[in-house]
Amino acid sequence: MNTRSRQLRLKRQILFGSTASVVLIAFYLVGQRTNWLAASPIVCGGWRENHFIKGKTYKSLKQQGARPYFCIREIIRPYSKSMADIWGGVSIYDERGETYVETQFFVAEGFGKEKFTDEPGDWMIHHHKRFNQLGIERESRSQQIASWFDPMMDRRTAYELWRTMKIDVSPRSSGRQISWVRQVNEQFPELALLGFSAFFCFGVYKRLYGTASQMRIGQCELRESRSSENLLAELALLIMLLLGWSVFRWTDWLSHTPFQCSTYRSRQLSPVSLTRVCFHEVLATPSQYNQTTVLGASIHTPQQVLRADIQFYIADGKNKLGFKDEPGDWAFLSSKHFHPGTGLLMASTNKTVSSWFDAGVPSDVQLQLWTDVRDKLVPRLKARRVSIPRKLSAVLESFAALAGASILAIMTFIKLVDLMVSDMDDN
Amino acid sequence: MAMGFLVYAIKNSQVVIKKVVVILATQRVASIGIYLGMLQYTLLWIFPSYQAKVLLFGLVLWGIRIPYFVRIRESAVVSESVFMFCADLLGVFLNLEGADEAVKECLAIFGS
Repeated sequence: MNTRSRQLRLKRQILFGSTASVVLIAFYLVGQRTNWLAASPIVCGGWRENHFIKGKTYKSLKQQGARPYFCIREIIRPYSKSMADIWGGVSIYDERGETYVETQFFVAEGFGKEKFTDEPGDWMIHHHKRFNQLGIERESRSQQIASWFDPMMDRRTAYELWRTMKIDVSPRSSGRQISWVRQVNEQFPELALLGFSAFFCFGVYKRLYGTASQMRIGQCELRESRSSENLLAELALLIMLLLGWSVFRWTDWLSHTPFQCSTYRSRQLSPVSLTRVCFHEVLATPSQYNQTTVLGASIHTPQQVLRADIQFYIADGKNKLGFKDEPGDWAFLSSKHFHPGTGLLMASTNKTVSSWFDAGVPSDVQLQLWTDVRDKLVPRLKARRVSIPRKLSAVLESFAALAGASILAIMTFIKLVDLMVSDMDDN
Repeated sequence: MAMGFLVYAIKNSQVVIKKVVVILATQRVASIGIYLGMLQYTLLWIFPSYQAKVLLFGLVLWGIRIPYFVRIRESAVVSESVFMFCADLLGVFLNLEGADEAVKECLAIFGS
């Protein structure tokens, strides 16, 4: 290839690299650090004098002469029949600006055998972001805050929000309704892998059909041998990435070392069976705000290995409302079932499942386990403990665009230097 | 003064970039990058709680040693620098939210 066409190719690569880099950085900044690309509201609510009014949008409420207090924008997890909860993304408006909360609403009514009904206004905020008047992020925190501790609005409006979620949104939520920014962020690892595969296939196609005609006959053999070496190296890299990805997603081989394991014997089953429960991660520590804890745990039975994020409800009555949770009350936030011998994934779900619906263990073990968590484990939990695979997934979801932009930027920088240096050498 | 320089830089961006690259693509700059890289490695062990910031500093160092090695066509060192750049970047992202938690975790494990 002559110098001029090489320089042209470098210029094209620099132009593509810098443009893609800027676009990705802009996407990260606007998508993660502002509310400019927030999903359009499903329903909004506000007050006109003493009347609570609902509207389709923030503007329509204003036009009706009401002051908007909240807009429900996303259904992050639809209504779960096995938990009677729904997870929503809600914008809350006050004098200081907007707070966006990702909240789990407990909306049970006559649920299960016990005909359990949740307290009106009962919810748990899992993550919140505060924005200033321009919609730029001021603060972002992943902390569980129960509505009985701080609903982030007055009690009257909080009750109306909970009621809107229960009556208007839950029955109509057949699936998730999330913003396209969240959709892209959640799918970024898959998109990156797909992009890399497409890039690889394009490279193979170009080597096979694209460059042969441009080569001079004398260079042909040398170029071909170098090109096949590169091809093999790239193929090895692609296979390694695919293998790593498969192990990461569909096996139990990279599980985090447990920090506590206990074996329980059930008297309800005959022959007597042993259930081994191990705790691997501390995802949310209990505090005065929530009196719950989320633990990454695995439950080993002869039939399967159940790996799940379990939220234990352990309110002991020493809180603002004197609220006390039922013994044995927990929920699986997400779970994966693995084969006990091979560690291969058999089934997985992101639906919340109450322990009253399916605890995954016999009921006497359920009670023993819950008591052990409340009395022995929780007093010792002082900090979060998160596994590397989960950290990596979180990084990929939150910073994929920024990381992609940085890698593209450094590659473009190399091309730029190459171009400038070849100019210097020519002169 | 600064505004004047900015206008000059925008008007003559190609010339400015070329001048910067010429300065960066010298052995002296690459050597500074390598020696400061040694310092950065040591700082990681002395100040583990500032890991994210030290790694950010490292990103710049991996960047400034690249031009010289591109110029002398030392592709293995360029590839190494890109790999270390990516590894440091991952370290920065992992530590952005995790640094404080790691300290708390240590306190929780070994007792306060």
